[in-house]
Amino acid sequence: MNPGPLVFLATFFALATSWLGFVVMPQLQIGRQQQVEIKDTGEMYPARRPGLAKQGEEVYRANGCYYCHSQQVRPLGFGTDVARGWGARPSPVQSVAQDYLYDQPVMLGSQRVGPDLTNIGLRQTNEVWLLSHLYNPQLTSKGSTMPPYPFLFMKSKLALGEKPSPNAVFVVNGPKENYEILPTDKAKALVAYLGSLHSEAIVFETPPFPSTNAPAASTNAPVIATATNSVPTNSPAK
Amino acid sequence: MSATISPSQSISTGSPQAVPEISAAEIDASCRAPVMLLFLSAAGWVLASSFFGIIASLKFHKPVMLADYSWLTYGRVHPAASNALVYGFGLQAGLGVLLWLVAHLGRTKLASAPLVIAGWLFWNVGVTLGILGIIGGDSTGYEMLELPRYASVPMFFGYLGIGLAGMLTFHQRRERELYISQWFLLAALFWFPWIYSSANLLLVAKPVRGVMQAVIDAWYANNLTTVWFGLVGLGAAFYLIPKITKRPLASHYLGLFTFWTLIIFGSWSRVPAGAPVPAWLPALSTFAAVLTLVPILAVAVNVKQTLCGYSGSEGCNPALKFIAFGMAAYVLSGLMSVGASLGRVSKITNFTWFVPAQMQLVIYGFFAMTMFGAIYYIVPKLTQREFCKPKMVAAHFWLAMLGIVLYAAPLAIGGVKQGLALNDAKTPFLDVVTGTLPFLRASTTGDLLMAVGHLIFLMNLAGLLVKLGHASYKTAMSLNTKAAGVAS
Amino acid sequence: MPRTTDEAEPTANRSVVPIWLIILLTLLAYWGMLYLNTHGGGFSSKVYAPYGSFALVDDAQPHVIGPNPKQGLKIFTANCAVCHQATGFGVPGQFPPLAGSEWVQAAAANRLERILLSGLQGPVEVKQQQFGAVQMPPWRDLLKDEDIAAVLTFVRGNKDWGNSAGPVTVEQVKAIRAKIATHPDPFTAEELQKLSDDE
Ligand code: HEC
Ligand code: HEC
Repeated sequence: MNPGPLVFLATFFALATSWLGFVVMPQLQIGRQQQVEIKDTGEMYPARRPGLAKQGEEVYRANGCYYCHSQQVRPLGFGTDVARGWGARPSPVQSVAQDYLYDQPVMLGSQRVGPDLTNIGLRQTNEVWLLSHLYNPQLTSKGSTMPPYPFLFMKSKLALGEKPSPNAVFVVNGPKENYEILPTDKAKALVAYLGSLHSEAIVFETPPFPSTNAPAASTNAPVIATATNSVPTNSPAK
Repeated sequence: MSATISPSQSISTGSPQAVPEISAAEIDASCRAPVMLLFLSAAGWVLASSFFGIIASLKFHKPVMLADYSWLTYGRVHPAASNALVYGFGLQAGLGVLLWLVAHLGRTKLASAPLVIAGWLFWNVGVTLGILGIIGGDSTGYEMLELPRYASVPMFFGYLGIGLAGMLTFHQRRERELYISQWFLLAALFWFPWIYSSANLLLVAKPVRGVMQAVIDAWYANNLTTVWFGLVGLGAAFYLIPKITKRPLASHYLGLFTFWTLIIFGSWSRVPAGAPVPAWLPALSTFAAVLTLVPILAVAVNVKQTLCGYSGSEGCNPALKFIAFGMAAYVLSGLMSVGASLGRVSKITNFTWFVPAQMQLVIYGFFAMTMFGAIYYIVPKLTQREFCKPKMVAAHFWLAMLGIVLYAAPLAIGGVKQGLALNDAKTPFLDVVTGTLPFLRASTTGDLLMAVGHLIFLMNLAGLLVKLGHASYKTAMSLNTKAAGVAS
Repeated sequence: MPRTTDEAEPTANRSVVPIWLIILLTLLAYWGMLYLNTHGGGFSSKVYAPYGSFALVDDAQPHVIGPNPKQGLKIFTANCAVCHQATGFGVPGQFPPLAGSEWVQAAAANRLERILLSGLQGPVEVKQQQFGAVQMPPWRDLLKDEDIAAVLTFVRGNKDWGNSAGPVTVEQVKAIRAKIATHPDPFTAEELQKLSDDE
């Protein structure tokens, strides 16, 4: 007997099993997801990233922010992701496949040298903070190990008495030097991308915690059935 | 295959007219140029990887260091280091060792050396372009598959060339019966093109949508590190340990058992618990990861029984030392990975430095160390020269060994500490970060030691080549003078 | 055995695989099956940790009332606006207003649901105005329970019309539909007023 073909068949069989189970089957299940309508708001989820944020995604990828930052919140009971305020869903389930529909590439990250950024767009809405932090993390977070990204900024000399631009993230008004630090387009795009990072919408996979409050009257608030029509307060006109 | 090829018995009868014998020296001669090229460039890349790795590591001592240059930012040098290690060193060293083993075990010369050399060229052009691409900001964004398209295409064809030569060599073997290593090596030859093309097609050429990208990336990364590295490393070890110690491998069947369980359970995936995918994916991953305990223990038993009571004069053989360390690292890293796949442990270790520590223990502690050993064994045969300074080979061993231990141990311990701190919501995040710094900084020592080791490795190989070149120059000269003498 | 090469290639003994390894493999596989059973979510694409099965996720779904306001608006525009007008003010003397109507905003929606399902005929007073010339058609065959819940939720909660009553659930509509199976004709205002809130 020639064992060569047997080895080949063994390999083929094992690899095909793994490929079907971990590539084909998940692709059939979650690879063809579409936007879904969010019941509370009627909006389609997830939204496509606007152009500037899309460019920012490229900056995020090119500079490998994902080697230090994850973009996945683990569910309740898996560590303290929720307790640290990284999750935004009022649900035991946190990040789900639906959230990543329009990410290209999907950068889940495998390390948490820095905090999870899944919901940084909700947590940190101050663009100036984000820009200063990128320019030099020590300005906002003393002792941070995040590297500064001065190459995403440009230095612009200030003439004597000239007012710094409102966009400046950092101004030096010394006796010897006068300059301001302005964000480049890349920095602005990156901040727009960070702003676009949020996944708080409730979808089927993430059923919300049962709520005990009466539903809000506004049609835009999430409405939950526990307390409707229970106590009549007034009857119809006669 | 064809019935005209005589069965193995006819080889051992040694009837001269049936199959002409091929001496080991002839096989070595056929492998010399292509395999040496693979080894040398592997040695170059592992040094380059150290270079990038040290820069990345130093960022944790001083984040502002070299911050002005986009191409030296952490998010670029870090993947440059890992890709240089995996594709520059790992695949090339692995393929070189594989070709040599397949030729020797088949008692046949290496088939089509030019194909290997062409493949080598494509591969190295690809890796070079790819590393430059990552440094320039062209990374694909998929961990373990960062090399951009213009790198992966030539690399794929390069692999096909080398792989084809391996297949042809296997096909024309004269020893029909398979030694256990051949199972491992042959499977590895098939494995890589499938996973590499699959992953590149589905992630880079025509990307699938959404989180499937991460699922496929995890599948690919696991198949590369657990299966490909596992197959080649174990295949080499199962050959070299008996060969060097001159004792039979403890059990052929245990080897086969390892083979089957490794390719079946090792090849699934490693999606960590809590990942943003349907619950069955992490659950099935955990299932598979736990089952890999079986091949790991099988390897441990097989190696231990082979070496049991061994205290031969070859005990201090440097190649054996590397390989023995590699086997220990294989078992240890395997146990770490089984442990980390369990929900309770994963809650702590996932996302911490424990994960890269385990990974490095596989890629470097197990695979690279085994390859170093194999290369130190093979190269003297290829060049028919002994290393000029055996002490330098020993020095490489100690540096590499201490290096990986000093790298992985602090990161693994620091990682557990980091995980525990992260899971205590009352500890502010910045305190968690600063808590890991001493460990990270300690691991830089490991990086530095490994780097020095790699420099010595390259010098050792180059030294042999110089010696070889010098000798052939001398013979050429003496031939010349003889010829001249004859002429005069 | 003579060798074809100068140096002997390695050989391997044929000792058998230790039995404990095979037992271990079996035990781990068994454990794995149990693990998959509890953690695998039945291989459903909708089940994420920490849930264990589709049934649990399904049970945890909130009973969202009136699928969504957008849906309600759509149904209103398509079906009701002809008579009650897009403004919700109706047409004096013919079609009563929905904006500010006490019928619409009653805390208990049981009467409202009846009006929608079976229609309304005869005199009715809305915002101190008399109506009754025209009949309100029944919707029981045209609109599904979800649609009725949606449009009523929209109408009751429409802030632009000054309405601010709570939503209506599909379950409630379903229950009323079952109750009025014996009442095919349109209701009259008088009939409705006799009902208590929980009928
Ligand atoms: C070497 C690891 C590292 C890299 C690379 C890195 N970061 Fe950070 N990042 C950190 C650490 C540590 C912190 C926490 C301390 C701080 O706020 O600076 C942090 C914090 C942040 C925060 C604030 C998070 C919060 O919850 O307040 C943002 C936003 C951020 N990083 C964005 C980025 C972006 C964008 C990039 C890529 C250009 C990047 N980081 C690259 C380590 C890193
Ligand atoms: C053919 C015209 C017509 C259409 C279409 C119509 N209605 Fe009516 N609706 C009426 C009339 C007429 C009355 C008053 C009946 C009466 O006087 O007995 C009425 C009464 C009502 C009332 C009770 C009185 C009030 O104003 O509060 C409600 C509530 C109501 N309609 C809701 C709706 C809704 C919701 C729709 C859409 C699904 C709808 N109607 C569609 C004609 C219509």
